[in-house]
Amino acid sequence: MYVLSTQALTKRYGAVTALNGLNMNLPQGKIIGLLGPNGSGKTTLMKLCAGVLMPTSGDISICGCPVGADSKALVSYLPDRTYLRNNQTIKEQLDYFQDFYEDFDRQRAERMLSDLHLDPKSRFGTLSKGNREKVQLVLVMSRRARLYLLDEPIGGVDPAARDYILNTIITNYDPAATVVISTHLIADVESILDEFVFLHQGNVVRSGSAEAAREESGKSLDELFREVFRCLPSY
Amino acid sequence: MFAKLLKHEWKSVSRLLGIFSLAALGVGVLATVSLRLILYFGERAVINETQTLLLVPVFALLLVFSFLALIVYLVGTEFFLIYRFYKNKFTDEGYLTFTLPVSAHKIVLSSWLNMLIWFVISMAVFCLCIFGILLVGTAQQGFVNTEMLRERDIDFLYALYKELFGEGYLVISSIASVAGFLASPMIIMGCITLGAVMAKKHKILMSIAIYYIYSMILGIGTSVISSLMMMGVFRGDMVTSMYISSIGSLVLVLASAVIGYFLTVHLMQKKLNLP
Repeated sequence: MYVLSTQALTKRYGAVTALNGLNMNLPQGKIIGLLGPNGSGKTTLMKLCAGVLMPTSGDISICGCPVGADSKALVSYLPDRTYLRNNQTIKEQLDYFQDFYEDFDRQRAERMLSDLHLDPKSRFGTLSKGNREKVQLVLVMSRRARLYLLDEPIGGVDPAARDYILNTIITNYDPAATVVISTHLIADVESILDEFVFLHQGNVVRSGSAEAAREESGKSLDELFREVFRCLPSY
Repeated sequence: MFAKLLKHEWKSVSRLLGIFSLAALGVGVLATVSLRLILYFGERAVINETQTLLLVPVFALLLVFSFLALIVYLVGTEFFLIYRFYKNKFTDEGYLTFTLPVSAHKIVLSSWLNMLIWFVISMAVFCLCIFGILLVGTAQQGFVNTEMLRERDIDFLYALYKELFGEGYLVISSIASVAGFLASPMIIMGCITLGAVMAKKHKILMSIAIYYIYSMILGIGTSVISSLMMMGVFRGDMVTSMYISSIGSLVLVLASAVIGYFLTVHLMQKKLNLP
């Protein structure tokens, strides 16, 4: 069974087509890079899978469930923005996640916060942008979910924290779970990716095993990305 | 999950609204003391005339500002709750709300119940302050103005009302008031959700416009019912006309609330479009 499947998934914003009849099946137990230039549909795809955006047409299933309350119990989603309440402390946010998600591992979250020198008594709104992103990532990665959707998880943090986060992703995820990472920083995440999906104007232009692609082309994913998207129109 | 949603909804607003409510009670006490001192200085002339001339206007101003503050508290609480609903669902916080493993029904019902509880609390605080000012502030002797609580006056008012409209009208108008109170948060939530889903920008403005249009339609509907009933009045059946008019308004408000509920749930399930 696939962790994430889409059938003829289309999303239009007025005259603009963000996803164009996308068919995709993501297997379990993989770390997958969702890669593409700006406006390629990466964030839209993640929002649709998380259930915060509705498709124009087509279907999505998460471990066989359509997007809804049941699928949301299986998906741990990190959006590309700050979405936690500024007036809450980190501890209150841990309580919140613990209350709603049965798979939330509080000890793991507290350990990660300690590693990142984040005080649970701190109010979220008083943290720096980088630290807010770290708190969000800690909460999301402390769930034992079946599918992690991480939209630009390392975009706003310093290189040292970036290493810690990537290490956290590798060491903390369940072998039965799948992690989908959307990012522009391909060189930074390349070493942890099992598979990749290149997205362009709402279509998959290339996908497969990261290792096989490297062997076949003799190039890194970063170089391959530059090559593929240099040749495509309107990029 | 519903209880947890309600708990977190409550926690997200109770800190601030609790402080506001305590402050409103404090203002009520201040207004009560001010009124009592105005009456005390004014009627008994316990201090000299110059001091009275200086002090009475100060206390009168305090009283006026206290009334204004209480109205601001009542309206402000309502606006704060409405804004919280919008912010929690249709801004970045919506990414937290709508990724919870709970149904849209539970999200809507918990928000409605939380809003309703705070509407009741704010109304209770407001009424407590007003009754406190009227009963304690105007007492000439003792702590409470017992003259205001004379049973015969209340009985007289009740008898007059009963004679004019009949006992049933009191029941119907009471039911209509309670129903309107219960329905209003749901109608507001429906308008906000519709506005937030329809507009790409200026979602709040769109929500206000939708609420305004709804109010106009409801007003027209009520006017039509009243006008139809007025024809009954001219045929000499005023009480029946008032009964039917009240029932008609009640049905319109309840229908609006039911539509508001299902519309909100439907939009959250099928049309959600977070920026």
